[in-house]
Amino acid sequence: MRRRWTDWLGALYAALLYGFIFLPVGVLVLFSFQSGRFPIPPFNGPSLKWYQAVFADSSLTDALVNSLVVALSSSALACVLGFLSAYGLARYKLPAAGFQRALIIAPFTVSYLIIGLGLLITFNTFGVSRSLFTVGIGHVVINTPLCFAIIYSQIGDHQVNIERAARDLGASDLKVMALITAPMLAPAIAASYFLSFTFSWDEFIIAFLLSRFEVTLPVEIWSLLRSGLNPKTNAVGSIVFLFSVFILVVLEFTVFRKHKRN
Amino acid sequence: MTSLANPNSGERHKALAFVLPAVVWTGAFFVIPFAFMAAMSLWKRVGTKTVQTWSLDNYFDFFAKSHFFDGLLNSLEITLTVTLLSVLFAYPLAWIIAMRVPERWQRAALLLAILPFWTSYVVRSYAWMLVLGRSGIINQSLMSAGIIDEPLELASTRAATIIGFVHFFVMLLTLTIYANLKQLSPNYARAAADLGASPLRTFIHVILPLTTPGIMVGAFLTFALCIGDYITPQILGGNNELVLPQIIMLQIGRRADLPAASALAIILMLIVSLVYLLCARWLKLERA
Amino acid sequence: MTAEVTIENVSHRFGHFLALDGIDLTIKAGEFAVLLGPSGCGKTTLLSLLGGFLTPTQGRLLIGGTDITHLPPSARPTTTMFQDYALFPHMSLLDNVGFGLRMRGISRAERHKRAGELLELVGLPDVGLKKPHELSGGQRQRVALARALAVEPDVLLLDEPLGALDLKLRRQMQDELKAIQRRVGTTFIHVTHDQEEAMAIADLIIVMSGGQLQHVGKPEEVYLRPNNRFTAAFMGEANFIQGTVTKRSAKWVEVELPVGTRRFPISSMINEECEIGASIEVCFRPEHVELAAKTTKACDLGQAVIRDVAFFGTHHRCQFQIDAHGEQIFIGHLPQIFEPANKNKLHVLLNASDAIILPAPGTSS
Repeated sequence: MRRRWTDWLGALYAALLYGFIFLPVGVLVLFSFQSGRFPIPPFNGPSLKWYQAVFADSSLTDALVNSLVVALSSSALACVLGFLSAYGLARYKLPAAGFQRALIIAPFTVSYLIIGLGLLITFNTFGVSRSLFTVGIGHVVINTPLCFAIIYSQIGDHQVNIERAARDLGASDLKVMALITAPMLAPAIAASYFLSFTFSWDEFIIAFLLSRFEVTLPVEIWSLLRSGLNPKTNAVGSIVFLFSVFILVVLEFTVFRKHKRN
Repeated sequence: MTSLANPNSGERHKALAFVLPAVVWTGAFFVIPFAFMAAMSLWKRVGTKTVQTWSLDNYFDFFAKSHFFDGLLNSLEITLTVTLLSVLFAYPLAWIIAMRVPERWQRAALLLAILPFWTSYVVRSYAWMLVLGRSGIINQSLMSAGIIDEPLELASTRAATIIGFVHFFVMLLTLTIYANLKQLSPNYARAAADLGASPLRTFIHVILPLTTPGIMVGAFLTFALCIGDYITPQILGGNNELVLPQIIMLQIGRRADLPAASALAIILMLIVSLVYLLCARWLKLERA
Repeated sequence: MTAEVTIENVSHRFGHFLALDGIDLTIKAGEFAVLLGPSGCGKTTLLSLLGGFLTPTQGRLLIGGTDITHLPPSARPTTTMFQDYALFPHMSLLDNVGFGLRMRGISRAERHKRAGELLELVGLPDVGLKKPHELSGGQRQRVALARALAVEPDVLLLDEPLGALDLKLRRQMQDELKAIQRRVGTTFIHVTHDQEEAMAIADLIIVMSGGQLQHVGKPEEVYLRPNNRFTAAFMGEANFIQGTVTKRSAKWVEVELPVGTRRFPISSMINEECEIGASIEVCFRPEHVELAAKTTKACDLGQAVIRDVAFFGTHHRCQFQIDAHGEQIFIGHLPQIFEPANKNKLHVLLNASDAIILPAPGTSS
């Protein structure tokens, strides 16, 4: 009987914590359908008018496109850099390998604010004007260590013999990498790409410091916050959330499902 | 990595070609900017000009100007509170998901527990305003229930900052602790019970020590991300108790004092490095 | 400390899967019993039920006459030695071995003294301050044994404890396990899928398959007079020749085989109720095949051609094909010194009292 009592307590605890975790998101999404001017109770919807307002606001839609461009391209570059360096460090014995590994990982341990500030000072010094391009550079800096760490952790020594077999059968180094190594690591590469994508997509402080006229979505939302509580902000937030969840679900049912089966 | 060494120099060139792009990128856009920032921290802002005089004045200012040092204290107090609370809240949830939820539902339960992770970080803090604000859900509920007459000042306080942070980091820690719990052989708990340990003693003597790595990884990430974050305290904390990142942003934005901002940023980094060294034995990057 | 174990009509289900189907079994106090069977036969489930990690869907478990069916593991007079050893990695070996005593409130000095004695018993003196990761697989296995014995259980449950060791070490540990069991006198119940291991250590072998007991007996019985075809085939290489009972007397039975009609002593029959006309199988092991008749009760298998031969050190393993009946193949062991060659034609015999007669598969017994 004591077992049942603790089980109930556990279920109650889990319910409370799930409630806490979902409370702000629930409120956010619910009041994005508010038809009044303020996203506060009482709820008087549902209405899609704030979603219309989002899509009618060209600065928001521009920012959304900017974010997509920056996220797609910067994570692709981060992934390539991460994959190549992980492969080199795992497969070859290099001088000062430990140092190189530490160097590549280093940006991961430093707060985004510091990375952004350093880049800001450097770009100022060399007279590089702030743009989406400089934001992208910053995002590659923060995401390369992530891609490196994920891919490096998945390159096992057990795959070495598979690569040797391919070489033995006459494949060149490039062919081995393209036809054997990369496909074997596809789940890790895909996971690191999507993770970098979401990190870049959601990154605020570097984008804020390094952009000027064209901005990314988080920066645009930030300036929207100055207008106080506004159902339009709820609508944008809900769109971003649903978009991320959509990517997550796609990932779950493609990459990770396959990975698990292997 | 052991038997794969190939000593001839052609192989070594090939290997360098793989690693070089990432190393050069990190060097150009991380190490050099960092050096610039370090140099900048030794210069001075005089009037509207940055003067290249080498001095440690910006660092002395940190201890001399009380609002800088208070910012550090605020940061540390908030971060430590958040880390502690997040571990305390996350551990039971991770344990329930790993041990009590049936195996085939665990992944779903975990994904659900970290779903709000995927809302925009800026929007998540804003969403807490909707909950905690003067006319937010909590105040309206309490007032309509007749518990309070006047709305409580929940938003724009240190408590609001802490709630916003804990919300985020509970999800992170649930993930790291769950992963740690799952990699333990269930036979550890069985063996302890078999040898006469009560569930509580099994937990204290066996499960808790074995999940210390998961706790420490999550706690370090929480510390590092929390102490460096600008958004959550800026949106939820109001303007009365600034934390270090807010002060840094003030130097950059309003005062255009990049030397002072650089010095503060370096102090922030040193603190995180110090904590990293303290936790280093639990934070290892391992290859499968 | 030792006690008798009784299993009464125990069944266990996992969802729709019937893992154990009405098991009745008694293991005497101080016996070294081995649960033997292929994976999925239910042996590990039975061990988990005895250890208290599962509760049976049906039936009762008794140790020393006390019903323990619903007791938690900590309240049972059993301890388990786990397949992965489950040594606590953050504790020294002394603390590992002394853990059970600590849970019983025994003082630190006392439990360390006792743990030291146990480490000595399992052949690991002077390593008490090391951590588990500093040990080899075989040493960990010994520590796990010491930890399980430290609380002086009546019954020790061993879940494939030798599975992770290499062959040579495994043979050595078998001898040591048996010696330690003799010394402490505790009832040991040991799970394995290795029939040689079972025969090497067991007083009592319990052969299981499909959640049921196939044969319970001493190693000699289970190997030489298996109850059924499964046990015969599982305990080692066996030949089966189909036939029909044609005549029987009080002393012998006559069987129609592909090589002709042969007589076997009535004791060959595992199921003595076989009627005339019943389908049977004559079962014999490769080492029972002979070239020259040693006894008058020899069963002549006729001329056979060697199709394949391999040298095994202690013997030559030969695949025979019986002349007149191209499809009938059996395995025989020929002496070390003999030099058989492929396609040799030999006259092969079988000592009739070595063979057993089982009901043919599909016929009810």
